[in-house]
Amino acid sequence: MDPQPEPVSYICGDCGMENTLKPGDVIQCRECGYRILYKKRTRRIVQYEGTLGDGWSGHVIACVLKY
Amino acid sequence: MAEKTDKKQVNEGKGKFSSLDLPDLPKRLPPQLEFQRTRVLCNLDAPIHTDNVMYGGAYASMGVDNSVQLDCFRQKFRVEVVRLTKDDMEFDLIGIDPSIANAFRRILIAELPTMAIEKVLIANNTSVIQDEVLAHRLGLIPIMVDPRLFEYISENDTNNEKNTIVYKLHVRCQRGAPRLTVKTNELKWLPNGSELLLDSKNSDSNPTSKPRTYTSFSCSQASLPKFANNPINPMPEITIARLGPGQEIELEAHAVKGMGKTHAKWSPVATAWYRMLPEVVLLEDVEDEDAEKLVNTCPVKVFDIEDIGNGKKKATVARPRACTLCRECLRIGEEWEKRVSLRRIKDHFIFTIESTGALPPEVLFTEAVKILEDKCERVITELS
Repeated sequence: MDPQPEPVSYICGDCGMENTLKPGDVIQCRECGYRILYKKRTRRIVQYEGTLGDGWSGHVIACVLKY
Repeated sequence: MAEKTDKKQVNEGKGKFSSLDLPDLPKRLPPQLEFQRTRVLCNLDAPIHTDNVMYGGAYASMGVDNSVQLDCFRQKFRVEVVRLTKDDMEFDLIGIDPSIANAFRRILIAELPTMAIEKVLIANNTSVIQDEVLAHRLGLIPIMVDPRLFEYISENDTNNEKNTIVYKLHVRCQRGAPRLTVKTNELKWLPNGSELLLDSKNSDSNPTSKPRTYTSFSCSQASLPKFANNPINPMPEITIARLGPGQEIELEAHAVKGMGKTHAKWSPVATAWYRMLPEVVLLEDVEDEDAEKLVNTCPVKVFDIEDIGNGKKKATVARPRACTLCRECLRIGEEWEKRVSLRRIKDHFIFTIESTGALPPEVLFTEAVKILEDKCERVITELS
């Protein structure tokens, strides 16, 4: 066990406020008192292809995007 | 006329008619066949004579040679530019076979390369637009750079300064701020390549070496003379996403060279298309009330009214090029199909190219011609 566990930040499900919690803390938003908190998205890089379908439906969007 | 007088003289001279004395058969087709050969007739129900007579000996019995002659083509073929702007062009290809006009169209759409975003590395995206949809959207953004300055990247190649363009996007909508519209202007060009580090697990062999990123540029693209004074920008003012307060997008986008046949995002044209030149003919005089009716029926104002004196009016064909073949003029009444004749000229193509912005349209067309040339050469070497 780590002697000093890292505080983890969570996002409030209601107001979107960032909360830092340590083990044993009450799970509650400091801003609005809402009791549902979410984990943040990982910072790990996710790779995507800039491609969906064969592109011909998207091509129409691209043409519209242009104007 | 000359032939007639010749015949007369011959007849007078001999006093007796002989078919051997007749002049040679005319080297031209009779008008109805010439019409079928060169025009599509657009009737109310369907167009007729839509096919092209390809066979060289098709009119041999009439003494007319229908074969394709290079010299003849050279003399007849013309290109006339009608409209040319920064990214839009209309021109006429006159005296060309539809198969070749269509080849140019297909090459323009699917076989001319451009640069487009292919790989998107997302570090953070808390917006409502999903990662993969965002990546697709980024892929469709036109990148305004000459693709001829870049190389294709194959599967085993590393991303280097010759085949990849890297952009960074890092936007955040502050708390309490109004919703933020993220436009392509926010994409920042990274001439030195990727700034995101690869997982260090794979490169633990030499901990002192420079940390490895997703690209391996040997020099900055900005130091290359061709990009020194003109940064590679995407088409500006295109919306990428909208962010609510507290939402953030942080990503890197890698653009590579590709062709429209792989995915339409690489197509350099918003569209390239052609139509045959319309020919509108009034078979009989259309006067007074009928003329008014005709002028008012046409939605693209092909017809005009001309005063012919004595308070009489006559319809004229003023702008046949505008005809869209809607055939409203033939639908006025039963007898109108006998008055108005809508035709298309088979070897006259009105070609329109709209560029997405990477290259100007006239350059796109010359590039398409070069590609067709290459294809022809390849066929010739295969055959010889």
